[in-house]
Amino acid sequence: MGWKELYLKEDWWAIWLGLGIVIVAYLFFASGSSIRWIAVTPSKWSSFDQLANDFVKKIPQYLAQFCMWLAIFSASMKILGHKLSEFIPSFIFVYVFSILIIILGAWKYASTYTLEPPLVALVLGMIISNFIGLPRWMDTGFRVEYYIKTGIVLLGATLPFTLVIWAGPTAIFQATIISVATFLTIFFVGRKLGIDPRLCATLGAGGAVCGVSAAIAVGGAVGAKKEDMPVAIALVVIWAIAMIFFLPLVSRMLGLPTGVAGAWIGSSEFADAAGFAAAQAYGGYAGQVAGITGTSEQSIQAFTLMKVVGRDIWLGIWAFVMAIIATTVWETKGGAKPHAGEIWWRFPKFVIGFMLASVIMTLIAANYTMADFNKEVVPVLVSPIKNLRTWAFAFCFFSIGLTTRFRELAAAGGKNFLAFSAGATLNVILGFLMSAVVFYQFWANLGQ
Amino acid sequence: MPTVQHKCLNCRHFRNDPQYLESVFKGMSSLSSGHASVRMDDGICKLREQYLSADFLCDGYLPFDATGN
Repeated sequence: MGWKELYLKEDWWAIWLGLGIVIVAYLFFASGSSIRWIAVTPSKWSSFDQLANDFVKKIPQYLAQFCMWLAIFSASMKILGHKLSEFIPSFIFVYVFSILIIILGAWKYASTYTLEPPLVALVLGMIISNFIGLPRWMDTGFRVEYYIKTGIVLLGATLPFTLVIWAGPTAIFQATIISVATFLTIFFVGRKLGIDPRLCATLGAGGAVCGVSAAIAVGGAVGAKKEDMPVAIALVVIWAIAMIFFLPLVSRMLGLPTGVAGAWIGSSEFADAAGFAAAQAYGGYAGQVAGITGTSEQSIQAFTLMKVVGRDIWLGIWAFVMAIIATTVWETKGGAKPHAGEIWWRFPKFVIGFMLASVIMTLIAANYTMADFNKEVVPVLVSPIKNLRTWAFAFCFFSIGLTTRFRELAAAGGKNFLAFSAGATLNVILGFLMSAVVFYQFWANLGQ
Repeated sequence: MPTVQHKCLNCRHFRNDPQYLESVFKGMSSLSSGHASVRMDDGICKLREQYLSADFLCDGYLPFDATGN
């Protein structure tokens, strides 16, 4: 594919869309205006009268925003080869439910009843997909990865690049220890149980690096059996969904600061989309649940540093190393030797957009004192971008639920389950020790 | 001996379009995507029943015919 991936891969489209929004937002800001109007979200509410008044008043804004998302996603989906006759009705469905989910999250008592938008979106989606069912063609609009990657690029504009530079090395150090330990555990337990080494490597990457994306990258690199890929995918999905609920729940029981919980989730949740659901849910407890200190952004920031910077960016290297081992040790490959270019081509490119957005906002911030930045820039530039990020994440979390059909997942088999679970369990324990014991102060005070 | 021209990407046994992969690998689109950069051009070889890099070479190579099938 080569450089055609600039318009044939979701990663690049997420960059174009995310950075496009950031640049447009800046142009409005520089001309004395703001994209605030179209980046609408519901106001906090505690009675139905308040909710109704706020919603009716903002209907034109919701319509305009819907048209904006529809236009930019439709154009890219068409180029990616999807039918707009399928995408458009499906996206309308996603948007309408996202409004309801975000409105519920704006309820004053939402956190009290654990009605955090990510968890509500996920559960609602899973109920619809597993108990009601939707036509298969509607999957065209349930683009989990596309939405989360777009959201991550937008997230970059709210995360100072100085923080990435300052906290990145610690995140990489912690994530590397956990990733290597998890991978080796899954691999060697799997081998001990007699599992094919290619499947062991695929399972190991899924549990140690970045979930299904790592599994498909390493699976292709080592030449996994066709029937083994759905097994790896099923194990990652089941564990990842369970962790979305488990990690915030235990963190809440332990009263972990948001930054610490975010780092733990970033260490122990496999998939970006699932992890952001858990981290955003926990961040929602900040200031709402007694005993939980920190800010909602700290949870997201710690998760992002640990997962995106600490784990995702190394995926190409994992795949390259595994390809070399497959070729030289397992002899499963043909005449093609692995080439180092694979490290770049398998690199999750959306991270570039995330970094660029962070750099752009940091350069803008450099012209202001902290007080002036918070007063003049945040309300008209940063907050609207953050609002649009909230929407992109809502589309993603609802889509995770809608595409997770448990009866369709492959039967994993006892040995595969055992090997993967051994690594996943170690991952959770090590992630907790590193985040909540070894680097507790670091993550608890992140960005302060 | 297969040559570079005989790689999977140009072989009739090989399928790697994103929608096809998402339909075969159930659950793939739940937490990832057939359109992800990390997948490169990997796809399924229907002859070997393997998920392979598009650069893979083997003796089972079969070129597309003039109609592209």
